[in-house]
Amino acid sequence: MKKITALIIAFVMIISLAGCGAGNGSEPAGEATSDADGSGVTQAGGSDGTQPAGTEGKKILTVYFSSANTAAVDAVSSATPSVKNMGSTEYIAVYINSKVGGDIAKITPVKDYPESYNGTLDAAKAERDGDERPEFRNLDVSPEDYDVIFVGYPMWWYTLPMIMYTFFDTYDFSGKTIIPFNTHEGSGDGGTYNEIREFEPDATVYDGLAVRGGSAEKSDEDIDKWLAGLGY
Amino acid sequence: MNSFIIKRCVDAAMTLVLFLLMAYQVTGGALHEWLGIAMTALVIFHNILNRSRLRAFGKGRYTPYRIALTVNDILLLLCFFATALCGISMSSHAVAFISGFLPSSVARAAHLALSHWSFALMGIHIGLHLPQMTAKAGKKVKTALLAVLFIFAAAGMFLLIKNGFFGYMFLQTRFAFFDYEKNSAVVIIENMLMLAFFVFAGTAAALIMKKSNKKST
Repeated sequence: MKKITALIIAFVMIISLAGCGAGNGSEPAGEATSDADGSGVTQAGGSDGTQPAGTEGKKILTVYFSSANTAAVDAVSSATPSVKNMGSTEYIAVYINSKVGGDIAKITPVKDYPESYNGTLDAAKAERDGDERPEFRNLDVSPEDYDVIFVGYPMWWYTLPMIMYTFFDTYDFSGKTIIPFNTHEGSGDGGTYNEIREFEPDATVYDGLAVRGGSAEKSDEDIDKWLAGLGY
Repeated sequence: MNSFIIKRCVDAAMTLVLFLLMAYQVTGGALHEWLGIAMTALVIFHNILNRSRLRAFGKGRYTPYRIALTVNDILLLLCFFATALCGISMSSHAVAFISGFLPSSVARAAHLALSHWSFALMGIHIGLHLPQMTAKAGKKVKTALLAVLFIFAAAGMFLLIKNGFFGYMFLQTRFAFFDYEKNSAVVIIENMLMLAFFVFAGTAAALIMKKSNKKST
C-alpha cells in the first residue's frame, strides 16, 4: 500500500513537472505580468522591456466591446456590475480615454444580445462553439488611421467574445501599436493577448491590463499605474 | 491480472485524473473535457468492479460506520453524475454533439459548485475506506501513515481557505478563478494536499466509528 502510494505520488509529480515544462499557454510573451496587489489586476511591461511609443504626435484610439445588458445585471453575481450605468469594460475604456486622449469608439453588435445576463451567456457560448463572426455596426472611426489602438473586451467563456474575432478579421493593424485591456471574473487575460498577436503578426501588441470586472470601479489607481508604465 | 490489482489501478487512475481535472488552467478546456469523459468511464467501471457492495445495499447490519459509508457513497454518486451531466451539456470539444440540453448559465454554475462537492466527497470516500485498505499493515506503519496524512491535511486546510474552495461549494464565488501565474506543478500539488484534508477527515471519522463499533459488540 505504501509502495503503491509512493509510486502514485512519484508518477503524478513527474507528470506535473512535465506539464510545467510544457508551460502555461496563457503566459504573455515578453515580461511576466504580475498581480502585485492581488486585486486581479496584472501590470504590463513593454513587450521588449522598453517604454512603448510616447504620446506625442501619435493618433490614439480606444475601441472596446462591452456587454450591453447593464440593466439586467445580477448584482449578487458581480460579474458585470453596473458601474456608473455602464458595463465594466466600458467604464475602463472611458477612463483610459479620459487619461490618454484621442478618440473612443464602441463596438456594437448588429444583432443585439439578449436582455438577460443568462441569455447573453447562452448566446455567447453558441457563437463560440459555432466559431461565428457576429457583425458589428459601422464604427464612426476608421481604426486603421490611428497609430496606437487601445482595444478592450470582456472575457466570454474564458476567451475573446466572437465579435472581437470579427473586429480583428475586419481591420489590418500592420505597423500599428495595439494595447489590449480586458475584464474578467477569474480567467485573467486567458491567453487572449497572445491570440491578438496571432491575429496581427505585424502589429506591436503590448501586454495588456486584465481587471476583475467586479472591481472595475475600484481600479482607477491600477489603471493609472499601468498607463504610467506605458508612458501615458 | 487479479481483480485486486485492477481495482487499485482504477483507484489510482481516478485519483490522478481528479488532480488534473481540478487544474483547468493547466490543462485548458479541451483536455479538461476529455479528462471528464475518462473520469466518467472510470467511475462507472469502479462501480461495476464493486457491484457486490452495491448489491449488498439494504442487507445486513448497518453500524454507524456503514451508514456513513452508504450516505457518502449515495451523495457522491449523485454529485458526480450531476457534475458530469452539466459538463457534458457545456461540451465544446469532447462530446459537443450531445451538448446544450441545459441552459449554459445553469450548467456552468452547477458544474462549478457540484465539482467542488464531488471533490470533497471523493476525499471523504477515500478516507472512509483507507482503514480497510490498510488493515493488514503493521501498527507502526498505520500510525506513520496517519501522521503523514495529518500533516498533509493541515497544509490542505490552509490551501482550501486560501483558494476559496468553500466559496465555490456554496456559489458565493460564482466564477472560477484561474491563477495562470501559478506553476503547473504547484497547482497539482495543492490539489493533492486539499484532497488530503478530506481524506484525513474521512479516515478520522472511520477510525472513531470503528472504535465505537467495538465497544458496542
